[in-house]
Amino acid sequence: MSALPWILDGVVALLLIGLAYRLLDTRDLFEATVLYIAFGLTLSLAWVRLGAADLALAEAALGAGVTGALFLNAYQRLARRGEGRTDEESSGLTVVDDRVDEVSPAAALASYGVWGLIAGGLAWVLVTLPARDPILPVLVDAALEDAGVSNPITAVLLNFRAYDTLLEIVVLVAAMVGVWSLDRGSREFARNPADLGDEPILGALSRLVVPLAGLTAVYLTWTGAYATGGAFQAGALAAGAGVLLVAAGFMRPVTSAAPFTRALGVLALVVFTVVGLVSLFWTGLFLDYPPGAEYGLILLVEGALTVSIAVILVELFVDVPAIPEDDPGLRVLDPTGDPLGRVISPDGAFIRGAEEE
Amino acid sequence: MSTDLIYLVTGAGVSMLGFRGFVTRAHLFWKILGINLMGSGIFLILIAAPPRLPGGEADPVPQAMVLTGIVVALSATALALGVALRVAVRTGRPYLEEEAGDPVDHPTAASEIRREME
Amino acid sequence: MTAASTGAMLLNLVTVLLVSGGAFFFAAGTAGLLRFPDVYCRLHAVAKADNLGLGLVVAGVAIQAGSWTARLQLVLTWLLVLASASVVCHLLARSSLRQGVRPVEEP
Repeated sequence: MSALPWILDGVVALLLIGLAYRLLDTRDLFEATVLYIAFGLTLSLAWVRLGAADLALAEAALGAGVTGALFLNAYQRLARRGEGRTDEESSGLTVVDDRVDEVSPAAALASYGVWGLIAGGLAWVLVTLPARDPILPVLVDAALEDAGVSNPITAVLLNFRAYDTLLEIVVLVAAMVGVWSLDRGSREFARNPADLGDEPILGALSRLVVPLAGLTAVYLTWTGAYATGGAFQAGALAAGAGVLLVAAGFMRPVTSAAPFTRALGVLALVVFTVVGLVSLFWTGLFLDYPPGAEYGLILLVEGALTVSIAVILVELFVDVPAIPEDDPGLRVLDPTGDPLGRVISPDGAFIRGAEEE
Repeated sequence: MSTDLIYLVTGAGVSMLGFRGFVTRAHLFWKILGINLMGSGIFLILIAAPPRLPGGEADPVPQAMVLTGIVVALSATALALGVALRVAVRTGRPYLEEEAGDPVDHPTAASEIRREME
Repeated sequence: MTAASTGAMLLNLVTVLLVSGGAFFFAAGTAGLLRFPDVYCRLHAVAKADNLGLGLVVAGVAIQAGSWTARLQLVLTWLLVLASASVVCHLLARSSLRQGVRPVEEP
């Protein structure tokens, strides 16, 4: 027995713990965001080690990629750096959490000690769980023959537990509606429209990568029936391509307000529900696909899911409320002066700008 | 100590670190980060706890659950970030009033209502 | 020892050498990222060393890959990472320059 796998797992585990500790301990939002992306990528390594390739794909695309883009997007809107400031003045990072209480090292140690005890207890309970023979995989295996697809994960998601996936797309649509309704006043995308299309090299990369990503998304949707892949990974990939198109200026940022984005966003929900009703009519059970038609129906739902997930994810990215230009802005820790014309009192408290009502 | 056990312990550690961050940090963005890390830790536990299939693959049922979970966590994060940004725009600070212990009175939705009642 | 097993051993040796070389360049790039004085030097170190390191790792792993499709996928991965890494470096450097970050002068 070689020690190499242990070393690999140990390094990944220590990285995960270390990154999680550091990103929650730092007071610098930019650092925390970057560390969170690194955490997602490391986590997808852990999924590979745990034999969950589908999760590795989804984590890299969604957990690290799209979530990271969302946080960076929100960070940019929080920070809104002033023009012409040098790196020294702003130290490159302006959004700082100034509400962390300074505690003595002993108190910090005690705090982490208590939390460590809780975590240790949880770990102890988990590790000493009695070993059991697999039950669910056996059931899945037995039912797989009639599922219409041979990838057990797709079979669970879109056949055995199709209800869950239907409700999941409801959650996605709800999130899209929620983010959209948060800020109906200012629909401006964070980037200055004049900047859009001003990135020739990013444009060149998009021309290279976006068609490939689209092709891969179709491939992943298709291959999900019998191998690693599926609508979620494919949708995430297509969403990444969409975000790139918006960032490179090939696509005007269209918010959820546009009729066709709404239509595409609810497409999967509609298709899924219609398939469920048809099967209710046919077999007497909601979402119990008629025998023989499973593969076709699952592929239909998967295709619609890929489109809707991609559109919703791009919308979640585009729809995040912008901070209006005339807003006094946030307390930006900046000892050398206030580029946004706000007043910061010596004790660090924020006093609203004079233009405020 | 096998691979699964290593990641079980890691999952426990990450989820508790996330919980600690969620409870102790006032800044809303860190709260969201903390909840996300909690989720990731729980996902690790869900995948590492059940026995593996003979081929070394993880149990497909929790895999499907976690796949769903990753997508739901992402949409919840997007909504939470939107709300946090909104709070930040309205109050000028990315904190909730109760937790900030503000030395200066910032108009928030709650304080506005309170003032009107008085 | 048969000819086949000798060949396999040679291939393994080549893989070990290539992947170790790749790991060395990754380590060098990371050292540059940590030690170099400003953002431009750091980008320079990371982009160049990591691309070369990844290329060596891909070459080493491709030798062990079972099929030509797998090798093609590996090479494609490397090319895509090459393209995106250079573009990201360019964007980072340009955005830093626009924000007024000055390159360090020689001491």
